[in-house]
Amino acid sequence: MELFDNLLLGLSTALQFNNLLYCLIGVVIGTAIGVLPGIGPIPTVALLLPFTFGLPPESALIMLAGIFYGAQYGGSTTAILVNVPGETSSVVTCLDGHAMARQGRAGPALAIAAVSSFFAGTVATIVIALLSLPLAALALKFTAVEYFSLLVLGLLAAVILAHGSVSKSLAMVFLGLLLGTIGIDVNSGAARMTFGIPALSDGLDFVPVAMGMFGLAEIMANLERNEVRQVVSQKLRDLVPTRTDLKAAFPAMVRGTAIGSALGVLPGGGAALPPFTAYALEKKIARDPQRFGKGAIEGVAGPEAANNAGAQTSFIPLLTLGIPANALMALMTLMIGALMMQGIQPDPQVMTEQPALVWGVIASMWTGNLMLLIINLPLVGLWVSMLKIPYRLLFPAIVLFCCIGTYGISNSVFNVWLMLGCAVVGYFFIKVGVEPAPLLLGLVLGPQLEENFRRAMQLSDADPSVFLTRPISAVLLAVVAVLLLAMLSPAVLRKRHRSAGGIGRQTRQPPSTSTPIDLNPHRPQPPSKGTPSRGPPHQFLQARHPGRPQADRFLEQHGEPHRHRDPGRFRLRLAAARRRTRAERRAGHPGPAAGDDGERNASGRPHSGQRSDRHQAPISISACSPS
Amino acid sequence: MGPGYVPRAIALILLGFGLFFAGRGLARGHAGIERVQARPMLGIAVAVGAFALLIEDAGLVAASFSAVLLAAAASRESRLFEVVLFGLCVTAGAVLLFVKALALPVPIWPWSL
Repeated sequence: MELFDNLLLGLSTALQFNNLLYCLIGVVIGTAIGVLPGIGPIPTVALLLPFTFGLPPESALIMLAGIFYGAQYGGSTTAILVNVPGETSSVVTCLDGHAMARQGRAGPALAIAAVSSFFAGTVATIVIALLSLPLAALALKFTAVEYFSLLVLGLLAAVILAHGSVSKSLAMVFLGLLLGTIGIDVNSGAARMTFGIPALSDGLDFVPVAMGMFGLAEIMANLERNEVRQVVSQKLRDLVPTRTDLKAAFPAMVRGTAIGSALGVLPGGGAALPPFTAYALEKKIARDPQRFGKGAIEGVAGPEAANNAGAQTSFIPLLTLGIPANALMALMTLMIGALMMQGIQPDPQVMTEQPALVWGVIASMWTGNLMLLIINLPLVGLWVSMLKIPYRLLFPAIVLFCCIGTYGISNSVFNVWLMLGCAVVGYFFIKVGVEPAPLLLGLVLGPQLEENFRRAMQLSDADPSVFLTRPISAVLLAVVAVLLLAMLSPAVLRKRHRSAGGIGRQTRQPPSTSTPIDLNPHRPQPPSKGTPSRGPPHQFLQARHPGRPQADRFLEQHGEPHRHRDPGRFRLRLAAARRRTRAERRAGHPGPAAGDDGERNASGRPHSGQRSDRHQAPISISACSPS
Repeated sequence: MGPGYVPRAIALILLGFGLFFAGRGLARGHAGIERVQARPMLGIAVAVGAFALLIEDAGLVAASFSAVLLAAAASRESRLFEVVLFGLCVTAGAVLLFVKALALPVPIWPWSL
């Protein structure tokens, strides 16, 4: 069996002592940044990229991959204990995970999250191994023509499947592509858009752009909000879930894994989309959907399994085709690009020429998941204590490390200035609700896209019809055309509207339909007196990029453009809504707060029969809910 | 196809997007964006700028310490004593990690240029 031979080869690479060590470093760093809200895997990988250049390629990739899936584990710990998602992908885990923690069942919730993640990680590793061979065989047939079409499809699909306004994301992709063309043209040697600055002749370095837009801009936006963290402090005994817990969680785990594996392969799917889909599914098929949001264990197991499976299968396009599925994978591409110096090409041949590298990374995902299970469950107290570091101390350190890291790539002060510029631009993007991830994808893929396009044109003597006459390319471009038409057709636009309104809600947008129902501001507050600004995790989420645009879209669809973005007004309205309900309760009328979550209809609005102004607070709050 | 072909094509597409957004923005009402707060943005920007100015001429210690101090000024919650102490620790950590462990070729002190 070729598959087993490959896996054995991979294991023999992954089990080498130094690779195990780098895998451990990767997953520990990943868990740490996953636990800490406010710093995500993208700036971390960007920061560590320069330091991996000295490592053997497989160790470097193993470590960076460990950071990515480690972050998915860590994110759930914060979600369960603090009700703030450590990573965007763990947003839905807040709902039932934190509810369980409030009922004193934080231990089982954490254990189920870790076990689900491990199960999903194991299955996803096998899925990767199974899918890699046929895909790599297909990829061997690819020429520049097919590559161009595939890149176009990848970029477009990433835009459509990712969150936020499609037109804005598309514009960002093109902006990224344009930035990617800066520098000396490889074919003619002409300097393009360098304005005579020598530092620009090699093109824009990717790391400062990523760190500026994802690291520093996020900090600027985060600092505008007061953040109050309250860790559920209870003894974390009883980590072992009961038999009934396991019985209830197992089917959800399997379904979550399936969803995550499928969505992860799609470009733009990554780790953010699967958990929402899984949660929506669990709630849909549950015999008693009322329990969701109040500590249903399926609501932890399904999404956790999905986000881990998705995080891992999103490596498939990268490892087999050399095409990144999302911005983080784009960073990895870059890293493989840097490995080209060592004779490795980031294209399908990598699979056949460097089997030890590719299969080593695949096998390391399994060993990494095993390590994560160990470092997450018994050591959970350690990670929780990390949450006690206040953000006011954390962020200056992050700023400094971004500075040193950017400077350290090539000892260039220009890069630090570039990062500063990107930070200011990225802050502006956050303010206007534009997603920076597509720009990053465009920036990385731009040079590849251009080169393949020009090579294809040379092959065909400048005849553009070659893209349509070659079968694989024609199919890919047909998919592009269908996607574009589908996006533009009024019927689909209407349907998207309607589905967000709650009628056809299982169709296209599980995130915006399911979460507004569930992330409900009127959930019974925990006994610990929360300040109004604490509340549900939404305020914090606004600051975390992948979540915001979805909320925007939802808001726009409900005719409330961007109002929730003013934290002051948001809080005032939240407080006003609470006052009203309290007054009502005193007067003997059960207000919306007294009702339970299950009563809410699909649009996230409370039931009718209330004055319209009272609608506003719940809408704006639930609309802030994450993607 | 010359070197300017692809950038020009992309620039034209972007121009189209710009016109589209401008038109749509004019046609639809908009509630405006959230107020921009100067302090966080300026604090971080000045910190990074100070780092860029100092790193090669005054060494890593001066650049790191001033970057941490200035960045901390971006938050209202920072306390001076705490920040100074923390800045010293982080600076020491940065020197140990980047210069001693990772051998980043950068001066540590202004006089070690």
